[in-house]
Amino acid sequence: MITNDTSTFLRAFPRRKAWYDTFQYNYKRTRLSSFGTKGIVITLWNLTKKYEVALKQHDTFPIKEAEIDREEVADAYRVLDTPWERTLDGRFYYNLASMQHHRDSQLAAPEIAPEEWISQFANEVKRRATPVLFLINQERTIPPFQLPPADSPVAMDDAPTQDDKQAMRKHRISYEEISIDALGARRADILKRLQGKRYNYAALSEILTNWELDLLSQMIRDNICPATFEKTAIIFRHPPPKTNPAFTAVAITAQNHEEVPRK
Amino acid sequence: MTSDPIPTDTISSTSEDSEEEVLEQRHLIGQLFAALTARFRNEEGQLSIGVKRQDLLEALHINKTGLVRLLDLLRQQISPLGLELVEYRMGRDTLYCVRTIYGVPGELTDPEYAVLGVIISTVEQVSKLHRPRRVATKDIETILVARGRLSRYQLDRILRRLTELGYITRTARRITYGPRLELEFDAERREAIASAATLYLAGATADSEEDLNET
Repeated sequence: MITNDTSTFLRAFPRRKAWYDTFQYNYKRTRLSSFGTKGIVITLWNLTKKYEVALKQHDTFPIKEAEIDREEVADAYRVLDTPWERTLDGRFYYNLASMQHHRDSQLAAPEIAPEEWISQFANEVKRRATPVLFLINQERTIPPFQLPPADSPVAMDDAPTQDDKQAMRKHRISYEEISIDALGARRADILKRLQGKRYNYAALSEILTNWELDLLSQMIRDNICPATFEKTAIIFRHPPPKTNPAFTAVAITAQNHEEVPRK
Repeated sequence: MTSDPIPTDTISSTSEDSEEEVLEQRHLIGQLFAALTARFRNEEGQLSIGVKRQDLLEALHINKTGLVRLLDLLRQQISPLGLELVEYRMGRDTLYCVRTIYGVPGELTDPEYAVLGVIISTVEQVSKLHRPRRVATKDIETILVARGRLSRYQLDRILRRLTELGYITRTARRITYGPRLELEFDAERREAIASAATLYLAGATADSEEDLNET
């Protein structure tokens, strides 16, 4: 009855097996010590555990050691009588054989370098693959079927409108060769348009082109076009009245008390 | 996809179709092919393999029968190229993607394929009654790292990349098949890999451990 119970217990909880084994071992040991015989069972148990642990860690013992262990418990079957003891004996021999198998396969495995092993094994896997196809490369977060349709106003292949052209013309940098006289004429033109007026900076950038603004800044620097700057606006003043060069010459002569004949 | 609604009549190919309709249909198939082979990530950051049927229906403005006809046409067109259209289910969604029939250069490097092979061969040894069939990361480490084939860092990087590409899915300690792995390696191929791997994984494997546990 007890054996039936334990077998159902083991079937239900296979992971409790180790616990069950130790329980059995302790039970047996107390029984054995009370009788004072069958010390070989303990040896058998120890050796079985030794090989099980080694196999789990993929370790192998040399053949000589395994042979000594085997000889130690070779005659155990003569004294083993209970089913548990016979099972233990079987377990020991099973572990011994597994160890032997492990050792043989390790010897038989060709000694190849790790890189070689990886490339050979990779080939085995690679040639059986049927890869999924990705043609439109690079990963993107937007699925391609949610992109805006081609005929939306965002499309870039439209011809530039009149406004675009104007804007482009305005911000274009051009090179133009002009004579000094033409430059003077342009300066005069700018002065004529601006003097005596007040402009916002933004408005100024709309009225004048880039090169005209450039010229204006030069004129302000040279005081040809005097200006006062405010926070948001700029006021262009009229230049001071030109002095007569002949009159100044007379003034200098007057200081020196000399008379210079007028030419 | 174009935003214009496509009448289902244009999709059926009859001899009475005008040239324009045929051209339009070809254009549509080209776009469908591009969408199915595009690479993007979904909201969860996973690589999306193929396109959901619902998305296709919404983008094309057609009904289910129209979509089936269109996909049949696409299947006919791409089969001479050695490609096939695959329909698979993930959760509640039905997805379509394009797969090659013959071996072609894949996306992975040699070490990544080797790690994939080790994962396949170990997972295939797990009983089919277990759902999902999975393997402990520790077992993969003992095969690759403990024997000096890869460093732990290399293995971590490879596993992360395989997860990114949708080959495997990882929990804290276990690895399961991802959707892409099951698409690229069907059951027969996986078994073949597992049997070929016995030569390479000679010695202690998960198999011997299982046998030990059974006794």
